[in-house]
Amino acid sequence: MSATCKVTIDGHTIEVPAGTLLTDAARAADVHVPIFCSHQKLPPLGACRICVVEVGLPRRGPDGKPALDSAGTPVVTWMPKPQTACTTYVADGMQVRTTSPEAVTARKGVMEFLLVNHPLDCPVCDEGGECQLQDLAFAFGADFSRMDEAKRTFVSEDLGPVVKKEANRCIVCMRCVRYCDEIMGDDALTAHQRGVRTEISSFDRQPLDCEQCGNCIEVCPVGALTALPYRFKARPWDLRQHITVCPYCANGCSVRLGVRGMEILRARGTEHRGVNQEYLCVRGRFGYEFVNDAERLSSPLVRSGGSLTPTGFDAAVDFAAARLREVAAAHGPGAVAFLGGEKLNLEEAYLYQKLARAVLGTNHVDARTRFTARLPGEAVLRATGGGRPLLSLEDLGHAEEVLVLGDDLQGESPFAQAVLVRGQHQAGLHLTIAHPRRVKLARPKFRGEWLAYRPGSEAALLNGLVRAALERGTPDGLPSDVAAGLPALRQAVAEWTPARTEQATGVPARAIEAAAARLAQARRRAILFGRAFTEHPAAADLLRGIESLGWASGALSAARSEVMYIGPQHDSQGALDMGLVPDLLPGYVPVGDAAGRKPFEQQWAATLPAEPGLSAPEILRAAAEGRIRALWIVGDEWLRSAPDRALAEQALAACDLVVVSELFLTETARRAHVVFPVCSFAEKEGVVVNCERRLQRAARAIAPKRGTRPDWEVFQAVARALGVRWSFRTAEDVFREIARLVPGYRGRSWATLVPLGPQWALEAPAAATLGAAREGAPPAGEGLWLLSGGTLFLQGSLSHRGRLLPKLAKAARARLHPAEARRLGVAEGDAVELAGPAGTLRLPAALDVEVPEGSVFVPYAHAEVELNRLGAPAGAGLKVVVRPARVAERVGA
Amino acid sequence: MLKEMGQGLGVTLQNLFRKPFTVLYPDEKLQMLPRFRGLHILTRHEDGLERCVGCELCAVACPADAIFVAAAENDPQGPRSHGERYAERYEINMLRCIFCGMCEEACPEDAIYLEKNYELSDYQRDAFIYTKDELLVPSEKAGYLPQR
Amino acid sequence: MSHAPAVTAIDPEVRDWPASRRVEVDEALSHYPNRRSAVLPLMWIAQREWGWLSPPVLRLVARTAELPEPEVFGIATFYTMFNLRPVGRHHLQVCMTISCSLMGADRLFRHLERKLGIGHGETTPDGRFTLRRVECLAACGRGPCMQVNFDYHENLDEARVDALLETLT
Repeated sequence: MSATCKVTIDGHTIEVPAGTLLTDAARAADVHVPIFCSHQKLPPLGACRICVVEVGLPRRGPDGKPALDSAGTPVVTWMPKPQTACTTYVADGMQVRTTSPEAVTARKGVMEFLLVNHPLDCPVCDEGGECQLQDLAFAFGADFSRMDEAKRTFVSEDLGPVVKKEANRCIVCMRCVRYCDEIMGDDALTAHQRGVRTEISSFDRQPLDCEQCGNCIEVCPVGALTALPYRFKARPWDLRQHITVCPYCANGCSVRLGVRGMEILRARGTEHRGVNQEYLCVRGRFGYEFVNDAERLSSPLVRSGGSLTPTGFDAAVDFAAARLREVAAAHGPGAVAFLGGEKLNLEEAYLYQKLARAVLGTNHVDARTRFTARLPGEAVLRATGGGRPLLSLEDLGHAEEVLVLGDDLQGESPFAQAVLVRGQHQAGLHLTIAHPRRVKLARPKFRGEWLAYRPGSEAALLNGLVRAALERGTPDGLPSDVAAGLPALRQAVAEWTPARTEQATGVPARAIEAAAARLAQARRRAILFGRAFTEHPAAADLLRGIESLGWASGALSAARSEVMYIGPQHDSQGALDMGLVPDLLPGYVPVGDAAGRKPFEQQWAATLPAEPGLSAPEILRAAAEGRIRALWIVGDEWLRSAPDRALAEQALAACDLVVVSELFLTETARRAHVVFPVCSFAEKEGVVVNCERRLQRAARAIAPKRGTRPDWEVFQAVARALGVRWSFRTAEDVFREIARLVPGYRGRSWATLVPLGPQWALEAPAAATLGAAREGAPPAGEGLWLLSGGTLFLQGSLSHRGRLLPKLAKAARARLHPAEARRLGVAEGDAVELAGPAGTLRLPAALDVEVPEGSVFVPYAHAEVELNRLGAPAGAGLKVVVRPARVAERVGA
Repeated sequence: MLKEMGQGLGVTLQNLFRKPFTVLYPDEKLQMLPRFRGLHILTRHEDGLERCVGCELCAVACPADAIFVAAAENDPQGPRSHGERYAERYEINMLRCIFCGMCEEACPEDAIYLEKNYELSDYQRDAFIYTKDELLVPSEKAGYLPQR
Repeated sequence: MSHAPAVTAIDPEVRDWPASRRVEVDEALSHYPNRRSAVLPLMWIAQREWGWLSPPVLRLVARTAELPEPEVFGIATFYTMFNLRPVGRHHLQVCMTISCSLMGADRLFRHLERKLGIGHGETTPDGRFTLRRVECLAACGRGPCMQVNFDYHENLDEARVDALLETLT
């Protein structure tokens, strides 16, 4: 059997790989075959029959060779009935006719059947104008109906706050059911009844119990499922559609914003476009509301006489620059620090650190919005292969074994989760989820292995895995420095036998050995980690452990890397690449490296400080102690995200100058001396870098709201007021400088980054560092281990602004294992008080078997949860005392 | 030459006593022809509900881009139209309108017609953006559809 | 076999199989290589136990068969012989397909409607009878046919039905 097949479709002969479906072959041949039920991410079903075509195969003679007619052309045996192209695989010599009378008649017949019960309410239907059924009825259908009986009718229903169902319009293609099942892993939808009465609904017609992603709406080819938030807002032809990059998690999904006038009315995915294609999670699909919010800042604010007063942009810039100059002159450049920036575009992140380093001469920059310890930027690079070509999100789905370390992908990285669910469902991918909680992917239905390590035993788990992986032998393709370092690594982790690891982590020895064996044996594998490890007090150690595991298991090799870091924000990777860390210049050049510094000093015409700066938690402390006198905070509700609320308040009060760039007058902004109103993601252009290190150009969808500017313009204006001659006219100009200067980004141009840019890699990967991870000190104090994590529905203060997301997220709850709750005398819904070293937090309790005993889980993304009031973590985490709230009150859900 | 002058004056005299073609507008008004297209009306069903469902087909059919529609969902307790959807805003910019009647042709609900009113003048340009309350026929004319 | 499903208000908090049904449940599960395949037998057991398949019962079936709850709900609605609402002690199922229809099933059904004061799919207030039209019961030679719970009654007419109803208490 040959690897490719020659197929002739309507006279166009093309060669496609064997195993290609006829619909895909037709697309390759540029022949239009209509489809409803078939979907690129779902296995063939053949439910709707609209793709019927005539298929013929060459007749074979007795010798097995194609029979030839008198003219010498092969004789074709046509199949007696038309075939569905979406379920027919190509064969060599196959002939296909899509426009023959037979095929056209068959398609007309199918169309007539589909329309038998379909209502004629296109003028009212939200799908009207972009409805595949409408288009195909127009193209292939008859212009009258022979049906004069009454149509069967259903009652329309709201399946929760997102999905509106109008079953009369349904053509039962089952796309929604299959997508929900195979890609979302939610199984929230099903077909009720049968035959002509078939209706898609939920269990007992209850509101959907799912991620509320709305992908069922996206894949519905008709108007049976429509989005309630977009209901009757506009018709498709009203909307200008702009494809940009989602501002939430690090997956970097393409979102297609539909804009009418100055208002964003909806966000959608786009088939065959972006890393995510049609997929969007609930945040991506419904999280744009803050852009339209009426409370957006529209004028710079400057503190005068104790209150913030609106002022002109130039006056605000002059004020900020003058005060920065004063502070730097009086206390030295080390008294100025720059915080935030993970949510900036690449160009802005670059200018931000350039402002800090080249203009003010300080290395106190840290991009993170949520931080507990120093982020070792270089260790992140090394753990992900030192800049070697990285696997993509798509590759993730083709892996045989995926190890997720400490991340709840549902909250942190929903698209990666969808890729894994699909891989598990369709391609036999095996999941190993290392997480103290039973997160979604660790549930039994995904048939993976859950390594439920005890909080704080991350290092032991990594060491155990490294040792078990090394037991399987030495992987191939190691660079020489790693190969030379392996014996030492073997020795360093020798004590971490599976038994010892079990003792330390609570994960069964057998499970550790099996997980390491699967990782080592898989032909394609992936290791994912995120902020659970990078925000750990012993992050540098843990990252070395991940790196060692990568080399030991074969996930890292000289040629490529299968270890992915999933940053907390949509441009965390870009901020890291651009040197928004205290010890690295753009492109991971250490600030202390004089030779590495040279090109930057030349380009920037400045002498750069060689001492690594302070990291975010150190800046917080230094500011509170008065050693740092000026702070610039970008795009971040710092008061709520800094690890210690009291310290953060103290720091803001102690500073001589606090500059905040924000969209809204947040609590942090209220305490600032200067507030610059800036553009949202939809109002500016620039590059963002996702967790695959893929560069994507985000487009501008709407004009900046009156009075706002992109962040880079603010940085440039302040830099110029401080006397340097920056003259970037657009963000693209900034990118040109990046492309001249920054390793990994050299030679790139904006033009190559649309629709999907490349993944960057370093020509000279960083050298490896192998070693065992060290245990962090266990947290001091009594009580339950505080576990926290992202939630699916909320991320950052911007997501609190909309109406839908906070509603979907419901009120935050302190989740306790039922056994733990019994011990505490707490029932479902009871108010509990969490007491940390510095303060208390009161929340309703929820009983949840997925939370381990001895801990309490509180999501941090809710507006009402201010975990930093409990006090800063000491050691490897934070322990809180949980007790029933004094008054025996019940707090409503 | 006199002959020619006489002929010319003859024509003048002839027309001097002919009934004039012009009318004394605004005291006198012309009867419009059946297919004349003037200002639009938005019609009502017999039960008084609006026929327009806010589908915006008129707006997309309009070659002059003169129509703006924003739809909204009916309150089931007090619906404005049959079905779930109605036009919350319906505006026609009469300075842009070319009276081609494409909106009428596109309308699937018989909701919009171009009627005989041609007296469209005002002092402000803004006033030429006709809003829904100006276009919608009064409830007394529920069920009225122009004969075509 | 004749099972008389009790029409009692079901405990809405059905959480587990009663001990008396454990053996049946295990037996049903033992017949298949995986648990999901046993979903139909499990529903039968549940219907025998509780008379009808309420949402809590379907959740229990889903848990037992390790299937998503919506899928189990879909399966239950797919088949017509699972009761998704409470039924009377005597579930009268009148065949309406062609042979029985020709032999007077429609007349018989109207007679039952009048006599019991209920229509298709309804239950008498005393919880004694539920009346339902069904498709072919495969008793075409001896129509009209009515199935009462699991018993067939054939060659029926009004008088015979009246007599039959007297015996069903």
